[in-house]
Amino acid sequence: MKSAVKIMFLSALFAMCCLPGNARAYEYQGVDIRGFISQGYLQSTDNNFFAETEDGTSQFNEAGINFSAEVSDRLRLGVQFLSRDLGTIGNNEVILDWAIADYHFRDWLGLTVGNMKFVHGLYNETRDLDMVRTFILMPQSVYIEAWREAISSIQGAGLYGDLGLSDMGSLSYDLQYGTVNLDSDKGAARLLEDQWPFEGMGLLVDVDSIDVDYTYAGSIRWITNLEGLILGGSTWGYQFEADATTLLDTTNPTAAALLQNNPGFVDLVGPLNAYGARFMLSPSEFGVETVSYTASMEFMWRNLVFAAEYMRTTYNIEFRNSPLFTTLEPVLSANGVAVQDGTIEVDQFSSVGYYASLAYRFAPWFELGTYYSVYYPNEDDKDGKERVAKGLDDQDHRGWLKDIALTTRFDVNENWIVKLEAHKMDGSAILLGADNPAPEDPAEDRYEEDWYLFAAKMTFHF
Amino acid sequence: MKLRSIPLIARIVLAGIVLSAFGGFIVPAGHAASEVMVVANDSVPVESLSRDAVQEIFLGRKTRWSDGQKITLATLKEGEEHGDFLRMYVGKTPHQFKNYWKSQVFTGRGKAPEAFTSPDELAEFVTNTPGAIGYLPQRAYQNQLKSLMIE
Repeated sequence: MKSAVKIMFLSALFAMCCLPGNARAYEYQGVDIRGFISQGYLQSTDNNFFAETEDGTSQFNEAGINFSAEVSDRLRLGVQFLSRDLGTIGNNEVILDWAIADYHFRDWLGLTVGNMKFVHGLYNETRDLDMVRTFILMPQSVYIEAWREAISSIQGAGLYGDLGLSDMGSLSYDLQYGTVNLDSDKGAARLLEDQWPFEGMGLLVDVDSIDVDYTYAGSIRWITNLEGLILGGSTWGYQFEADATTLLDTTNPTAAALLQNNPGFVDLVGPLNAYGARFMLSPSEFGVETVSYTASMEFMWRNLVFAAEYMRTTYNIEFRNSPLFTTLEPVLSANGVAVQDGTIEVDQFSSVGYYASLAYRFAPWFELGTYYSVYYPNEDDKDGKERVAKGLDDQDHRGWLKDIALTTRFDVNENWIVKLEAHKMDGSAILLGADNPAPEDPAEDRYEEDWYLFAAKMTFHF
Repeated sequence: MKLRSIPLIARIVLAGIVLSAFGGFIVPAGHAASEVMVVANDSVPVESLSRDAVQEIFLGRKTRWSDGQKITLATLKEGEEHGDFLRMYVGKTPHQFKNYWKSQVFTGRGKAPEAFTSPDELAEFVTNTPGAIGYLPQRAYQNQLKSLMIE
């Protein structure tokens, strides 16, 4: 079924690209049809960036097609299908990116129902659209790749509008409430697995399913009367539960000792599973509550665009596995981890990230852009030493990621764009353990602190 | 891949800048504006607009005239008048304006304005479409369509 959808999707895109005439939007009986296809290539000197980038990978693409129609003066319907791939994320499955019914009562009040693009910062809604921005990769401080699918679109209802402020410019607002379908094999699940703090003890986890209780998002933008200056603020929040399989890796010396020294532990261990020397334990649950705030500014002056954003996200995470944690309580307590009623509550922590970017269009066909982006997964541990002390990581540079990016964009013609981009990275935060497995030789480092990432991308759109 | 790849990227970047400069394609910081007038269909119930209102209309933030009639946008695809109008009244370059509307369309937020290759086509569309607003070279189209005064 999925293959059939993929074939139909690609056929439709291909047909649109091959139709005679200019490659602009097509209209069929009042329905506008637009689309895009991007293919990229990623290569890193060290560390795998959400795909096997150390070896170089072309598993980096996006394609979308949308249909929209104005049913009446006030009612608009639209739908977009999207397929994307980044390493193990996406795998070119065709998904419903957005599908909306939009009723525009007044300029200051509109109602959207369905699956809407998620508002966050200045550019989250357009992050799938390579053709509308200078950069290939968005600054990871505010637009983290692992969170991308989690804040791509929201199923529910939203209010939006534009309010004139007379001499002070105007105000745009968006309020959204609903839920999100999160897949257990995509970025958010991988990120959650990376938060699991017991890997060093030989306890591994694999998220099976995620059930989102609620999601909300809100955004306000002040289009000031200083020409080209936009100031904005946005927030979003999530509450979800995840079920996960817990595994005990007996090749890990700590795990082997646990098994030997805790008689009660043996009762928890199931049969040896397909992974080899790993035993399946009773399932674990995650409870996650997260709230994020972003402050944004954008200034356009002629061919220059300057943007800067700051994001702070607070996490409350609970791990629940009553049989396991109760049995391990003495061991965990000795390591400073408190267990209550079979639950481990991680101290609330906040990540912070910020960036400043500059882009200049030198010619109708050439644009140059750069940004500096900084991300700390825990604002109270910016040097990463605490996470090492707690045994969460072996390397302190997992506590930050500082990225200097330089991009060139070439608009070959109205429909084709080519981009080249280089990143100088300092730190290894946001990289996922699933993409960077621990080396067999314990003397080898799992992550490198200083590394480079190169990206190339070609986009066709109509 | 090792660090030796970086100079290659840097060379491509520099080559792009140098080529643009020597090719004479560097976007001029500013030039004498062509005479552009804002025109509207006869049904439009206003005679003048503020500059801010023109900006809000062409960015889709104001979608109705004071009598409730829907505003229909008409733009030129390219040309000197197109660039001058956008710079003077919308505060964007043609590239930024195009990107803005692509963002609206591809995120389900709006329908792109009608875009015409020639001023004649635009004039005909505005004349025949209730609620339409557009812009034309002043010299060639003066007194042919209803023009709006920009305050």
